[in-house]
Amino acid sequence: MQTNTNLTSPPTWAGQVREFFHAERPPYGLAIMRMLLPWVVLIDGAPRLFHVRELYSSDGAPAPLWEAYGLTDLLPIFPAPVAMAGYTALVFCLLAVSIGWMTRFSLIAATVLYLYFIPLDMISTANKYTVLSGHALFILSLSQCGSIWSVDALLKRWRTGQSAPLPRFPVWPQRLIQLLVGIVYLSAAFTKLRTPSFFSGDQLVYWMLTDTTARNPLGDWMSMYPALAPLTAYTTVIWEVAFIFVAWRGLGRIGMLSVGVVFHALTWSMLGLIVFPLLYCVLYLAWLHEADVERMTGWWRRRTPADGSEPAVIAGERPRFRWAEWCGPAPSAAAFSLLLAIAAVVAVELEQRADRYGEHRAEGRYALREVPEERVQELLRGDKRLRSSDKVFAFDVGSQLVGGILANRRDAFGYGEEVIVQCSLVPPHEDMWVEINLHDLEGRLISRNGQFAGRESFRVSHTHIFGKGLPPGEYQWVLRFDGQDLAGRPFRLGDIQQASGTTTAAAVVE
Amino acid sequence: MKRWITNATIAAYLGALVVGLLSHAINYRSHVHPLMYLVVWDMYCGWSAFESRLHVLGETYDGRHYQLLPAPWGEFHPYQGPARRHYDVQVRFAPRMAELVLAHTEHDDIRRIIVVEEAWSKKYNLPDELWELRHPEPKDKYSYYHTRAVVSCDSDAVTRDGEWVSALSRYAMMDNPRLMSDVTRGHTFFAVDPSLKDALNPGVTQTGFNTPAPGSP
Repeated sequence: MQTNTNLTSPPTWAGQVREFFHAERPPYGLAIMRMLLPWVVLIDGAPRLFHVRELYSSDGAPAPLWEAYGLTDLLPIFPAPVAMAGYTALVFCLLAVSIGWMTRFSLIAATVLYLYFIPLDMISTANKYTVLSGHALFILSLSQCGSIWSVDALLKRWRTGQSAPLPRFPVWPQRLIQLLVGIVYLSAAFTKLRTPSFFSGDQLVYWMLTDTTARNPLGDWMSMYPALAPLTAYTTVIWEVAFIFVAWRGLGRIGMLSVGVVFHALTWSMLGLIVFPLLYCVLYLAWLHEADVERMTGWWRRRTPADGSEPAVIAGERPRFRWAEWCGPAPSAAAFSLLLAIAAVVAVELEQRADRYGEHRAEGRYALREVPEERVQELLRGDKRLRSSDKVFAFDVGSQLVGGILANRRDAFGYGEEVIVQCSLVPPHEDMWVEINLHDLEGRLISRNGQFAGRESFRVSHTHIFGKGLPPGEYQWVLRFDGQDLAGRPFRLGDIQQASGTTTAAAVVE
Repeated sequence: MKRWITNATIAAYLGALVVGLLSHAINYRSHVHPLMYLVVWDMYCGWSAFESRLHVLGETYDGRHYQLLPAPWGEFHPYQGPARRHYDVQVRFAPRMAELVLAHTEHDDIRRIIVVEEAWSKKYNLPDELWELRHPEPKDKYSYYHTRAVVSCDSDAVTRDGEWVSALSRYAMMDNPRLMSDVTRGHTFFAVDPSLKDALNPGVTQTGFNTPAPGSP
């Protein structure tokens, strides 16, 4: 936030607010956002163009959001041809927004259509990043983002033959996007603060292992190191809370946005999110300052060797084209409308011909496939209990705890050294009696250690210190519950450097 | 005038965002209307330890079963992962998708639509090469099947059950004789007591765990 510096009298609070929202700047950030946001929206939006009948029309199986709120018929759901025409118009307008053609109208139309289609399908379209995209489109429709780097600006220049000076507009749309991002982060932090298992890292690990989003190989790998999850969880919440207060200028801006880019890159690589991180990187363009653009263009000019040609015209007279009168708003709107109508008609016709449900196939309608009886019996068996092995998420032996989670895994220990054996349980489970027993390799029981694991417990740990009474050799920790030995972890005792000061003679010291 | 309109727009927009933020923060009427979905940012709703998929069957009057979903013409995969039906966590719309399939296919008369949830522990989602690094035990993936909804095609009758993890919680809770005894005693029932016929006209009184019947100790 830049403020006027008045040496004679400090700026008032109202003046600062006015400056914050109404300072005039070139809309660089919003213009780039306008160019990129439609493509981010279309990553998810374009494939849905081929499923409009099923997802958004009364000829399919829409899943209206309002039904989850106990309402019926909040918005009309149209037949497939109308829905197809509307969705095609949405895609067309998004593309027009990207190139800046009929920018204001395209943005308004795209916002209205997008916010209409989102709630028609709550299970595969409505989610927080589509809503966030809707907010961004709405704010852009109030801005002057089409005044530079757009077809509209180019047509205007051709029409007038004038190269207009760089336009400057009140910065409030940019501020609204900045505040939107900050409030979303703050709200996301509130959610996490109310979720204790987020801070233990367990839910994050389960998310890393989920297959309901795109592939996330790094998440699979990271799930093997669950002690990192609480660290990530706390860092995330601190950053989300601090963002709206710190990310305005100077190092705070650079730091918060840099952490944000890393955070969102990790949500892609670890959690399999694609559109969400890209959307946020686009929204971060609201933090692009005039000085940043000047710095970048300066760097580019220095990097590009001068070719001796005439210098670029910044402002002033340009040659006027013969067909300049065809670049006016009316011809532009007519061409836009014509193309939009053609696109909609073609899309509706192609969708009809696609015969999605196979009603007009030469071989007749589709027939249902009978399910074999054995498979039916399996599907309908109505399980009620977990296998004992499925109550265990992991069983590990190590020596370091971070946030109550075993941070390392080892298979050799010295005398006097602390050994931590930990069993992570899969929630939900019943109240359990869990034993972590010490056996020799022949299976003879040496030490029996049982403890309760209440239904709210995510893990059970047993800490053990070996005295010299137990001879060096191979042993194993055995996990036992439900009357079964479920897992064993062999380890060597005494063949690594012994801890000093261990004089206990007891066979097993707990 | 333009400045006033601008300021009103800014105030209205920020006001809506703040309403959503506060509503979510103190959990007050945050789901009172679908419009709240536009301003309540409750991302990260929790991820369970089980991966789930939905199977949808149609049962004929003579007891045969047909696969209704995936539809014969294919399914939409919204997020580069499972098909659309699997995201219907509340099983609110899967029967509707099945009815769409029934409306556009050749089939015998269907008596009811059955939605079954298949669930397995997410630890089995670990790729084989990482599983070998992480667990000495062999990877023995096992699926649990839990009927989520049965929808009659002859009437509006619908039976639903919660997710597999909710059912597990419930089963764990029910695995407690003292608690189940209380549940049995705490259920409302109708006791017929002829001696009260004069006092209470039908001689029937509602009773339960917290409202002992008149005359009982």
